[in-house]
Amino acid sequence: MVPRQEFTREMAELHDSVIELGVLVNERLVGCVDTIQNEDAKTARRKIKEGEKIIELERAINNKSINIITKQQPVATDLRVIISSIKVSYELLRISENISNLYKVRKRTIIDNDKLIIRLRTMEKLAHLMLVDVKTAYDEQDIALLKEIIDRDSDIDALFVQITTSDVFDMPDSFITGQSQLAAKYLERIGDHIKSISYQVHFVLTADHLK
Amino acid sequence: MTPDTKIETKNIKKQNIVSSTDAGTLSNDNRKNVFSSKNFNLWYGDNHALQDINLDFKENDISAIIGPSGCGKSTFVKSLNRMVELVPIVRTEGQIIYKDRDIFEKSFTKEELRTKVGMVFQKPNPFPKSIYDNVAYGPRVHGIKKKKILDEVVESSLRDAAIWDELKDRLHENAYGLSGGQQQRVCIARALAIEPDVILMDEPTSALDPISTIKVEDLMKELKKNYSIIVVTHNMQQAARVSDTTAFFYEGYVVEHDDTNVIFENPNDKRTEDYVSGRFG
Repeated sequence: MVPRQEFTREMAELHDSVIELGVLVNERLVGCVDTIQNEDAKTARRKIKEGEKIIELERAINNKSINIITKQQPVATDLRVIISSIKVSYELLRISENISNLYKVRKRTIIDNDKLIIRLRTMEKLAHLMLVDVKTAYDEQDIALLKEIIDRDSDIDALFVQITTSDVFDMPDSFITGQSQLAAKYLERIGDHIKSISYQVHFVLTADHLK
Repeated sequence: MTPDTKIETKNIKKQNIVSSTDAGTLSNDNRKNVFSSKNFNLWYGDNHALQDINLDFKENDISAIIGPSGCGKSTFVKSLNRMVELVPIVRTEGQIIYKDRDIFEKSFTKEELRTKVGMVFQKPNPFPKSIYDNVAYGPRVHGIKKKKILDEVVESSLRDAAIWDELKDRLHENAYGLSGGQQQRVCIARALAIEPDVILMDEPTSALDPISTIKVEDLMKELKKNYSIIVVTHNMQQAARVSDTTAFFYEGYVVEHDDTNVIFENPNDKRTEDYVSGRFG
């Protein structure tokens, strides 16, 4: 008889739920900048609505984690995985909220400045690649890749600084300027949350906090 | 048992010949050792039950010993006060040092050793006597006759065992009339009455209910201020809750000995992790 079959099954379910949450958040992220320049606001409204599923899944992961801790009294790697599942799912929820905020920008206005859109789209792509690579680093236990992902957040930060401080975008309308800077801020925050997930994955893999 | 575990345990003896020498020694701690075993081996007849045990136990620590049934943890603890020698076919090699003296030296009698090293067993084992006589038994054997001194020893031992307030008006009742948890704390008081330095505990709460267990655990944390405690336990959570260091025994070897936090959060050996997480044993 395999010992602790139910515990092993519950841990596998928890793992799958966190991966599912990551996939759903990534799907919400991809194309969000295209949506804020889209004539039709319906997509933005639908995407905002879809954020509710992320909230439900994050709560389910928390409840599942608490339940496993209560019933199974995990230690060592198991406990790290559970605690990190709670933290990672929270970071994914925060990413999702920032994505919703981006879609809300579209409900208020259309941003169609090409120079600006190119940079926002680059920020989105960088964030998307970071998120995908975190999953790869976890699957392959690649510590070097995790450190690289953490460093790559500075690329997103640099674009944010450029958008908020440069006057090359020729933005005549102060309201649109403000909304553009908010969009950039949301993407910059998404990068920060992915960086936090990388730290958490590093803790799961090594039991050590990356400085 | 998972396939991984099979592979791990299959090669255990070979791995431990290399690792057990260092497995038990904790570094960066300047406190004195109350007990040190050095290349300690024990046989029951032809059965090599303990193999090259090298362990240091620091004073005023609670040191837990964990491991599956038959791994040698109780045998090792009973070696520390030489109780294991009650088994006629036992043979030992190596050293167990108690405060700079080898306990197997001819000049170090078992009686002298056992005044320094008290023991509490799995099941409460009070004598069929009054609570007072149970606690006063050890001091009387050591020649204390004066009632005033015995009264003081009984009171201070029961106070140290955190049971004085419950029993001070029942001292002359038979100890068998107490609850299991109370009996066990009386047994702890009886061990304290001879003023030992070390208290050995062999699964001291396995026969107790959860409330009594917590009381004994709280008592252990209080006692470590004045005593060193070495406790064998099958209860992983208990080892995690009460101990400062934990040694994991497997098939007569010490697989890993480290701070309890390390053993339960990030053990170095996969067998330790598998055991503490309940995946084998």
